[in-house]
Amino acid sequence: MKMKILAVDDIKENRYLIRKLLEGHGYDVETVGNGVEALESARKSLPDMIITDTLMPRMDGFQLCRTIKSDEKLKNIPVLFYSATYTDKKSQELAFEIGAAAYITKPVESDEFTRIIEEKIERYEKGELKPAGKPLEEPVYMELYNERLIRKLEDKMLDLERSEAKYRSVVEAMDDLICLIDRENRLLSCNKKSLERFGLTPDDVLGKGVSEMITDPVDVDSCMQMVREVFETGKPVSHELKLSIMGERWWYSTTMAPVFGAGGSVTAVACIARDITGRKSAEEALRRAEQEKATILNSLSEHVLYQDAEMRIIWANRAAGESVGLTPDELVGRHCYEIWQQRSEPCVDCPVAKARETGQTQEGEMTTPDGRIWFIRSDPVRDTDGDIVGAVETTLEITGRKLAEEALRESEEWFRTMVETAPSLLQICDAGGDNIFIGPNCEEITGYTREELQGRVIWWVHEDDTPRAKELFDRAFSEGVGYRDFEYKAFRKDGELWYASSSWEPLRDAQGNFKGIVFQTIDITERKNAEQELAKYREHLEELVEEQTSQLEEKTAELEHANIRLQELDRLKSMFIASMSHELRTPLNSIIGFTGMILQGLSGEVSKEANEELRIVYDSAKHLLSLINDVIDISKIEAGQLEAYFEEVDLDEVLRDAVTAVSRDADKKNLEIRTVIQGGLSVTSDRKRLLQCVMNLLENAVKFTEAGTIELIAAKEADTLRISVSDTGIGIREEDIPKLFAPFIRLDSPLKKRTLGTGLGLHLTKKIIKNVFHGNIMVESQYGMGSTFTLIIPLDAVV
Amino acid sequence: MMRKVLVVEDDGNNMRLMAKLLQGNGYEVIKAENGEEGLRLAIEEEPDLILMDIRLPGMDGVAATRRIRDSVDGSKVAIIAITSYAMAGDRERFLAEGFNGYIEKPIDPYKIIEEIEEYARKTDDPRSG
Repeated sequence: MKMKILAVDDIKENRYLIRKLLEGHGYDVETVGNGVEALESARKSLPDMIITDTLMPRMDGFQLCRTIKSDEKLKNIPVLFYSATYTDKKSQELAFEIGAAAYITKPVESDEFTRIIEEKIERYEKGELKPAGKPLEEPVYMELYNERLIRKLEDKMLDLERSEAKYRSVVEAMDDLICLIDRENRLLSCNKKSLERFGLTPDDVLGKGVSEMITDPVDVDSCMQMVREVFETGKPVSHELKLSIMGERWWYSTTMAPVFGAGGSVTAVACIARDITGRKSAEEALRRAEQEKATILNSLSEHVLYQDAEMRIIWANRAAGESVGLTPDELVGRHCYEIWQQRSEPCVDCPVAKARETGQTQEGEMTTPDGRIWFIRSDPVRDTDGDIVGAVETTLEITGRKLAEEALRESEEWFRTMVETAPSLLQICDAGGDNIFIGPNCEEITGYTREELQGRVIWWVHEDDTPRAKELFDRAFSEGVGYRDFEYKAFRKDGELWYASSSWEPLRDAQGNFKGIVFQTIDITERKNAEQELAKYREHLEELVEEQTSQLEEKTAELEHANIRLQELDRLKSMFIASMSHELRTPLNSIIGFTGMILQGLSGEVSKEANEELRIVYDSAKHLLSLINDVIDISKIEAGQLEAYFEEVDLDEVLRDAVTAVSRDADKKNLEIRTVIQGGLSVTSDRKRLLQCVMNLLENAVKFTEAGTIELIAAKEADTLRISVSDTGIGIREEDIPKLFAPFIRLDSPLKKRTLGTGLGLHLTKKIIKNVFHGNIMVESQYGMGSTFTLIIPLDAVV
Repeated sequence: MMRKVLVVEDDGNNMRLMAKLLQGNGYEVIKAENGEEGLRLAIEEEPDLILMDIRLPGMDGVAATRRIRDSVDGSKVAIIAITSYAMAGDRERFLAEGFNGYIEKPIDPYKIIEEIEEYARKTDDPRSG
């Protein structure tokens, strides 16, 4: 069975210590903070022993012991006193007087303390520790106890004094400014450091205003603000303040804490200000340095990137950001290869990666996907231990320079190729006239080697042209002007004569200063020879041309003559036709006229027989007339002399005239002629020729029809006039149709009576339709049933 | 009603034919064998109608007609060309020269009187009324 011990101490740490000590030795321990609690616990759990501190609030060890000893249930529990402070003999005596089992002076060593307690417990168990026989009388105890209390008070005051002195010396020794400030912002006290800083003596302090110490009113305000806050809230506040004191500026980390009075209200403010001016100026210097660094790096046109060990951008300058339209801050945390190269991993041969790996500065060139070329330099960055923590990348765009280099190389290449392959000899002289370059083909052209020509202007000029050459060259160098195609005679080294043509241009530097002359010389010997040949040929050619021209003129004259003769023949031909027509008509006029007149009875009575025979004469003469008319028309068409006279034509009238012309013959055969006109009466046409054609068709219809009807239909459409003549006559065999339009063709007719006709009617009609009207004629026929002839005349073609 | 017709014609047969045809139809016929005579008779006789051949010895029919038109009295008389000039364009040419009508030779003895009267009517000679 474990021994149960109740330990009483007002200090928490002591309670903990005692519990640990005793539990470590196998005791069952309960701890409480004062006498009142101890009594309560003891009555409840009845411990085997009570160990108590002497001085405690509410009920001290003496009171506790006296109460336990006067309690019937508890008076046998041994009470052990222990004390660190009150080790005077009087206290010990009082303890024993009131029934303490032991009085232990608490030693510093814990083992010692345990040992003493164990010894006391052992002695108590053996019965060696016996409480005093009879308890003290009340008045005696009170006297003794009061004496202890006064003594206790004196000790406390001594303690306080010692404590205050200790604290004061600490406060005085501190490097911080420490002072007490009242509600009106007046100083109540100051430590030594404050006095120094404020320039005060200890006697001056009391009642000095804060505003008298601090020069800048802004600083005063921030101080007073803090003081007011502490008074109002009762809580401490801290700020870093910049204060100007006695003309100097200081940075203070300032804490103001409330000082509470007996009533719990804030009576003053304790102000503790630590001088952080050094730290602040270091910070400021650092910030300024940072700013200067940023300004410098931002002023560069190169991209500057600082990257960490994972190649993430930690810092970027403005040029880097602007190159991709971002702010430097937006670049932070990203990788340069993803932003500029659109890659998800570092580029092969990345100088930054190499710098990090090797610890050496690296340089290289890169091309970004947009075609720009960059020069990249990377320097490793080490920490204070020398470990590589990142790298700085400096990038300069060199696209223009690269292209220029490329262009220059190309242009040099071109120039070299040009010089080497040009058929002309190239020479460059400096401003003084010294030959500084001569083309590799100089020997081929001049017979002199490059070495022989070194340092000379063109000097192979033949003496005939020397004065002119000298004049031109002098001008070239003195005025710096060019010249084109100076042709001259020259000598090769072997004495052979050749012809040269030289052109030159001045060379100028970027400032326009004359630097020399570029000569270009070609061998024009062949051309010169050719020109001489040509001159000879030209003379010969002129003779030839002259001869040819006169022949041509003769031919032209002949042609003109022939043309005139042709025109004359043409004229004669049409005169002949006109004259034939006239001459044939005159006798016919008499024949037709007189027979007609006699037949009308104007020359008196003739016998019936004579009358019949005169009629035959009359009809024959008429037939002869139509033959003449047709023959003349055909010859005119064949001579291309059939003129057309287009006018407004009344279609109705033309058809009526045509019908009238055949009506006598039709009546004889009792044939009906029906006329139909569709689509308008007026057309533009050649009246006479149109009538002639329609009449021909009608005559044929009457001629080859024995019975029935003849239909004449005219239909005017938008741009075509169709005139058709249909009969119910004998018709035409299919195989005969192609022969219909040949001249003087008479088809075999089934008619008993041989018909009269010229055999030219259809031939002429077709010619007129084609040549005058640019139209066509169509035939449809069924042998034995009848025929239809249709004239198709385009109306627009005749205008 | 017209009565007096001047026929200018150098061919005797043709003159005889025209005269008989006209007289047989009740006309008074004045004959001229050439242009000059025709012009003189046209002024002197003041015929109601002139039938003018074109091809005449000396002054031809076109010139005679022009002269007749130039004389004050002859300016309105109907003059009809009766001619063997029957090529295309002849008719238009003579009408443009001042003829009032054109009849082609050989004439149609059955129709000529009717044709002449038609032309004369179209000319609308005030003296014919």
